[in-house]
Amino acid sequence: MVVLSEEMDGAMEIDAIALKRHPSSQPQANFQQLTISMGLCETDTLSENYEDNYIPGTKTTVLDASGFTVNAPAGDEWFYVNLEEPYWYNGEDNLILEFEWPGGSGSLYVYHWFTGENRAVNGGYGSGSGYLEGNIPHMLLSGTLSFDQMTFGRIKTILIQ
Amino acid sequence: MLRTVLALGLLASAALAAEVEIGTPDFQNSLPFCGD
Repeated sequence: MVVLSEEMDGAMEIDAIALKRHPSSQPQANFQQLTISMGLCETDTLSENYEDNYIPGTKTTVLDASGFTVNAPAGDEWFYVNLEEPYWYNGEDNLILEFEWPGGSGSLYVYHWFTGENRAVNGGYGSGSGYLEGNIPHMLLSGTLSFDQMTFGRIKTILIQ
Repeated sequence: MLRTVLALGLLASAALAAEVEIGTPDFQNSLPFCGD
């Protein structure tokens, strides 16, 4: 799926992704293998070929785990998936999030929203392409915002005054 | 000076943590994250 740069709040380091469980969902899912990748995208909509959507060289694996269990104990509540490797988002390009799993047990249903554009690609595990759709999960990207030297200098100046 | 440094540290900490919400809940629209 692709998140547009204007939906982000500038550059940030992303440490975790939160999704909101639907009440009718089971409270737990077990993935045989779960791989999450992030990267950058130049366009606001996606093409059917997964790899073509990334700006070359930007695809980064942020989680790659076997026997991965996700707990979502309460309906209508956020649950978090912590990344093994934080991802630095540059605050300028669109952001791709890709979830891959070969199989598992448990049915975990999360809230999605309809974007009105082709902003997601769904397909079989290991397939190079999939079908386009407009639904993407309602989610929180959790981490730390950029805090560059210039901003720090300004705060320092304000305090001294 | 110490108080200034501490205040600066607290301000920096508060500004750093962030959660960006993407999208809005659509109660007609529940799709699987895992499973069928």
